[in-house]
Amino acid sequence: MINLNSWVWPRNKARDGKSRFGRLEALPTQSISQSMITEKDVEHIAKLARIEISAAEREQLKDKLSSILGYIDQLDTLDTSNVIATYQTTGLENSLREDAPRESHDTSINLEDRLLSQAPTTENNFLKVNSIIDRNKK
Amino acid sequence: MPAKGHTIESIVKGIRNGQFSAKEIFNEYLAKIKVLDKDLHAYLSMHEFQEPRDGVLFGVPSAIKDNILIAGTICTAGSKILEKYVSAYDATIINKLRSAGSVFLGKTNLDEFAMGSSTENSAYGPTKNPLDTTRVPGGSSGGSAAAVAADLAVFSIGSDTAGSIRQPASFCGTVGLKPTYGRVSRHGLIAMTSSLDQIGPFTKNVRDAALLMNVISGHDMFDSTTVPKKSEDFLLNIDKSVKGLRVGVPAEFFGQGLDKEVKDKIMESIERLAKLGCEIKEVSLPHSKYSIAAYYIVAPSEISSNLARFDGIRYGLSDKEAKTLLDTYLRSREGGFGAEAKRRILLGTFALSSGYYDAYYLKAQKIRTLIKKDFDEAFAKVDVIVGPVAPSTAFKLNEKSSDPLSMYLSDIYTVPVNLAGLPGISIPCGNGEMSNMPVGLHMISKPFDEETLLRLAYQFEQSIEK
Repeated sequence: MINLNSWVWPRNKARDGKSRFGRLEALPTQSISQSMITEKDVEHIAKLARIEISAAEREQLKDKLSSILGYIDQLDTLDTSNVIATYQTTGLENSLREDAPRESHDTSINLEDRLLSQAPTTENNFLKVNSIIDRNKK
Repeated sequence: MPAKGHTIESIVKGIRNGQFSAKEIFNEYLAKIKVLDKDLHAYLSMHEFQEPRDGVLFGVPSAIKDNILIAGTICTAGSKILEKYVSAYDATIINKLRSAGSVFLGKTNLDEFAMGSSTENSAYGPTKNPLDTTRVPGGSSGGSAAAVAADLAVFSIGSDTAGSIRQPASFCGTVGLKPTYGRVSRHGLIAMTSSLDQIGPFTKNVRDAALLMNVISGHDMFDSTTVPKKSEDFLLNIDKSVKGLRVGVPAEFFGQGLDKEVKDKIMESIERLAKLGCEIKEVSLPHSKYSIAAYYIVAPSEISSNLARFDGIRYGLSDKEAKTLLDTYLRSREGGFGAEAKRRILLGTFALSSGYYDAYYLKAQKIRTLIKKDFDEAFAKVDVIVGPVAPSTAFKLNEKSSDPLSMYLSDIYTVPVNLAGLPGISIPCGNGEMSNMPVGLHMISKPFDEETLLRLAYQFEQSIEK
C-alpha cells in the first residue's frame, strides 16, 4: 500500500470561521503585514488601471488586496536566485509563416464593417473619441 | 454511473439510421432547455438551428462557453462590459466543430471573463448545479458543465486557466478535459491569462472526449502558441490494456485541507487502477503548494494587460456622460467590470507597476519553473499522475463568494497543471459519502500525451460502469 504522508496545506481550519486569516495560519509566510497596501496605493493603482472607484470600494479593495498579497508573500520563503523563469511551456520559438494572404480567412464578409459596427461612435469609418484635453480646465 | 441522455455516438447513429433528424433532435433539446434552464441558468443565449455539415459530429447539438466567438452572435464573457457585443468572426474551434457537423444550441454562463470557481461572478447571475440546485456547478465553465450534466447539450466547450474545466466537471459529474497548452487553438477565445488559457470539452463519457480531441486539436496559424503536430486519432488505442502503466500518486495532494469524502473516493479509485494492472507509485510535487500564490501573480498580471482593451472606444460598454477621453476610460471600466475583474486588474497592475516586477511577476515565473521541474521529475518515473480534482465536492451557493481567497484555494490541485502546461482530465468516480455529490478523479499526463491520459481514463470509466 502507498504511504501518503500528510502535508500541511493552506486551507486547513477552513471552516473554523475565526478570521479571514484563519485559513492562512499554516502558510510558511514570514510576515503577513509585509504587503499591506494603503487606500492611497489603491487609488494610485486604480488610476493606472483606468478604473474609477468609490471611497467605499477603495476601502474594501485595500482589505481584499492586502489579504491576497499577504498570501502571496509565502513565495518569499523560496530562494529562487538561481532559477530561470518559465514564461511559456511549449518551447516554441518564433512562430513564422509566409508573408502571403491568408486563405483561411473568410474574405467574403466585410470584416471592417462588422468591427466598426461595435464601436459606440464612429465618423467616416473612423472611431470617434472624446477630446483628450478638457478645454474647461485651465 | 453512465451520464444521462445522448452521447455524440448515439446522436450520430440516430440521425444516420433515420431515427430522428438533426432538426428534430435540436428542437427536442431546445424544448428541454426552455423548461429546465429557467432554474439552472446554464445558458446565456440561444441560437437558431442551422443545417449541419456531414462529419463525425453530424447534427450533434452542443453548447459553447460564452467567451468563445461565433460570428454574428452576442458574446458577453459573462461581463456587463460586453452585454451587446456581436462577434465579428468565428473562433477556430467553432469553425472546426461546425465543419465536423455540430450544431450550436447556445452560449453558456461563466464567471466574468472566466475569473472564478463557482460561476457566481457572472454579471448575469449564477448557474446552479443540476444535481442539487442549492450548490454551485463550479467554475468558471459552470454553465458548460451544468448543460452537459443536465443533458441540455450533448457536449459542451469550456476553457481552463486554473481548473475551469476540470473543477466544474468534477462538481457536476461529467468528463472534463484540459488539453496540453498549445494543443488547441485559442483564436477567438476572449483572452484571460494568455500563458495558461486552454480550450477543452465537457462530455458524458471518455470516448466522446477523445472523439472531440480528434476534431479540435491542431496547429492554427491564427494562434502562434499552437504546436505543429501530426494529427492523431485519440480513439485508435483507447481500448488497449493499461496493464503495467505506471501511475503516480503525489503525497502532497492528500494532506490537510482535502475533505475526507473526496479522499475516500480517490483512494478507492487508486485501488481500482491497481486492479486494472497499473503499477502505483508514490511521487512528490513539493512545490505545488506554492502554485496558488504564483498563479495569483501570473494571472492578474496578464489579466490587467488583456483587459486593457476594454476601453469604451472600440467595442463594449461606453459611458455616455463622459466628457473627456480619460473619463470614457474611467467610467466605462467602472460600470462595465464586476468586483472580481476589478480586483484582479488592480492586483495585476500593482504587481507589474514600477519597482515590483522582480518581486512579483519574475518571482512567480521562477516558481513556475520549480513546479514544472517537479512534474518533469515525477514523469521520469510514471506515465500518469492521479489525485483529486478539488478539495471538496460542489459547495453551496454564497458559501465562498464573499471571500476571494477561499474561492481561489478550491483550485489548489488544478492550478499546478496549468502552470506546467500539462493535460489533465476529470473523470467521475462516485459520490461523496457526506454530500452525495460527485467526486472527480484527476489524471495528469506528460505534455501532448493525451493518448495515454484518455486510454487510462477510458479503462477506468469502463471498470466503474461494469
